Amino acid sequence: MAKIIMTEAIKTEKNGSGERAKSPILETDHSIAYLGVELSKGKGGDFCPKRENYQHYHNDEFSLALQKKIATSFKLDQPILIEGGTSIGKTTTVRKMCAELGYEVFYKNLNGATDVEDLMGRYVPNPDRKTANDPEYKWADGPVTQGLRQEDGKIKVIILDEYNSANPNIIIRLHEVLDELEKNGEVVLAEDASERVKVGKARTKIISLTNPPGKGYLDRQPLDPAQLRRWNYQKEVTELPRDTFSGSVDLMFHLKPETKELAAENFLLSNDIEIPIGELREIPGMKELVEKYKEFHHAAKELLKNKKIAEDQPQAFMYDDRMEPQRVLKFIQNFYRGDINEVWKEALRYFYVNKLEDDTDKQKLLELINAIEYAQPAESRRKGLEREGASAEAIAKAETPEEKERLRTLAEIEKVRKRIEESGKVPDGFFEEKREGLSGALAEQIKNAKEILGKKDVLGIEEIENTFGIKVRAEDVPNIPFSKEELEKAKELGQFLILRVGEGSDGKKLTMENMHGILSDEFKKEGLGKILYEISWYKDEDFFKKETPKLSWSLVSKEVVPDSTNKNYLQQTERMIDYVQDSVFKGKTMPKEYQDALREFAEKKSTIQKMMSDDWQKAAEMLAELSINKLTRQSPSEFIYDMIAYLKSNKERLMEKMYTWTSRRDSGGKLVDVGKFDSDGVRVASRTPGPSHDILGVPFSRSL
Amino acid sequence: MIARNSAELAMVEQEIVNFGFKKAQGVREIFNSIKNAGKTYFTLTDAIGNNIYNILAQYPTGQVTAYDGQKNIVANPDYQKGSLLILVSKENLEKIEQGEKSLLKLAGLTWQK
Repeated sequence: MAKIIMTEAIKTEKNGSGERAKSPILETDHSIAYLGVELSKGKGGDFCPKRENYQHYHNDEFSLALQKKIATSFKLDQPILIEGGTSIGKTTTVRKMCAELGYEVFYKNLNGATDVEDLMGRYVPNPDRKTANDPEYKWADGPVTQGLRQEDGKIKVIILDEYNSANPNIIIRLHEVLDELEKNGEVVLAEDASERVKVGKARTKIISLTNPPGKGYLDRQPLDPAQLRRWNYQKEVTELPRDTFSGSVDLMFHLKPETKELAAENFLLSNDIEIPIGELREIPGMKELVEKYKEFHHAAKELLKNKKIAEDQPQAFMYDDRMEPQRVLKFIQNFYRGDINEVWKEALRYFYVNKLEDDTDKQKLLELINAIEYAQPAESRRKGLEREGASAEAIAKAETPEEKERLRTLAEIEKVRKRIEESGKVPDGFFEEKREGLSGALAEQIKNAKEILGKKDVLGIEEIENTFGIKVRAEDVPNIPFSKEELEKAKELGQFLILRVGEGSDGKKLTMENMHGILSDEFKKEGLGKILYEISWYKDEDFFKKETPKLSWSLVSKEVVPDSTNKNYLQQTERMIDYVQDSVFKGKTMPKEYQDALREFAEKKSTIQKMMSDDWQKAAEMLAELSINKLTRQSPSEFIYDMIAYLKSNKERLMEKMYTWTSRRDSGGKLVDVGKFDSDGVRVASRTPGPSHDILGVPFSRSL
Repeated sequence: MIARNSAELAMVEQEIVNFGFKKAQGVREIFNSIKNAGKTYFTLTDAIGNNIYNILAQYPTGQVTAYDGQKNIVANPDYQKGSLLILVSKENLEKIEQGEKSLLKLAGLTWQK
């Protein structure tokens, strides 16, 4: 048992793990370990808090645990969002750690901040202006920008206080900052119109602090759960635990000695160097535990979805399919020290259990975590739940509805716990290197495309992975086939660029049916409504069950082509030909496949026209087979894919009121049209090629 | 310090001046007082401005940063020598608490006559 020294860190020349496991806060010349989590010191600076201001800070058990959480997040270079009551000392604790570590602090309270400029900076009158030649205004960094700038040897911490009071425009800007920080990229100071600030997560840590919505903070609104996914969300108490308060008061009145014993399980010893992923996979048991983790993750999500946990937490959150595994992996790389079972459990406690407030809820997840064991000796297996008798018989005998519900929950947990224990396969792709940002030609092309079209109108690998929760193999992705001039023209015509993929690296196909299945719950949780309106009439159709987008880069109009409504399918096709000639390829040589397609149309047009009145099925077949329609119209699955990706990436709906006639027919031979993508979901219908309507048009889509 | 009404507020103000406190007229004076470990008081009206709120939220945390219109600046409170008193009437406090920014959630010691 280690002794807690309640006021200050122990200074030593030794920093071995043995020492770190004994001293709650252990300081050397170059580092400080908080309950074993070791952080390198920075070189201080003007914005580093003064250490003497924290000489009366009490390192009690509660505050040590909080410091360990913060230190873990700093160690893993992950942005952390801590939700807890005002009185628990969140900001003071961060500043106290920064004073000890020599980290500079850049603070911004978001309550009342309305302008992004308050955070990023703005032009101000130049105080050094002496002559008319001197600039009238000069750029002044806001606290976030100053915190992001990389200065030799300095480590900076950006504190964003009262995060859930921030205006939506500020949150969006902060997300851009977080995304760039995550990939050690560049934050473009749009506010400055030019400057690119190179950022790095090793030297800039971001911590958001927030009070719980409701529960005495009635003016605080819950954040959208999707806004939390970028953060390592940690739920703290609303008020100090009773014994912490009591101990703290005793200390103030000198009624207790300033030392206390601390059990070994409170410590978490970090590695000096992150273990490469290639080495991790060689650790015996790792592959089996990864599979068990997958099951655990789904079980935790199920519990959350069914309100078996976190039911009373006003701030909804997700166990994110993409972010949690990445965080867990990074944790294991930094904290694995020989006990494979223990490091997994620590990681899951940190990222999953710590999002919960209620002790009973935590216990439910801990029961699952106990099943994350490799080569577990039979005698050590937990029997608790089985003894609980969570059988149908026990549930039937329960005397109260509450007891029934409790036993049902226990039975469910037991079921998934068994599933976790029995699983043992290795998921594909888990050990693949995490993409830190694309490199090489493709990355450059995406960057250039974003410069031309604007960031929101380029949906590349990252956006697609985030939208569909899949992993795209970068090596499968073709280069962007469109020239600079073509992208500039696309911009002029209101098009966006999207990477279409038919399946993830796990082989899961992105059919309409699967996209609907994968994302429906997420849409509901995020308040985006439904994906598809009513599927019963087409649930067995090939375009729903089998067809996927083809791997390609595509330019797609955000709206229907002008003057393409109130036209039958043939007239629409003619309008599209005009649009291709007069707008898309105006003043340029048309690609050969388009020249051929136009020739084909000219040859078949009169036949089709005749069929429109004589045999609509034949007409529909011929129209669907026309190359020009295949080249320029979306398929139903492509439409759904494009609209979902745009909405998820930009929080903006396209085709909310309009329909497009696709190039596909249903099993009865009618041409399928899709659209009206409002919160009730995409409507899908099919028609003979003859009718027209004022909300039925066609957007342009070009895939290469 | 919470006064029952404006008359009592004026009385309290006089008393604390006698204890060596100087009145701050705005954010800049509050900030400079924190920086120089001065004894300052500030009288709140019925709303808290963003800049004052930003300072009050940080004051108990051992460091205060702010933006002075040109750059970010920093002060480290000296709790042994310096003091910052906020005066407010009960009526104004109630109005403040009805808004988005709570003074009571930020306050350290609170004294009501």
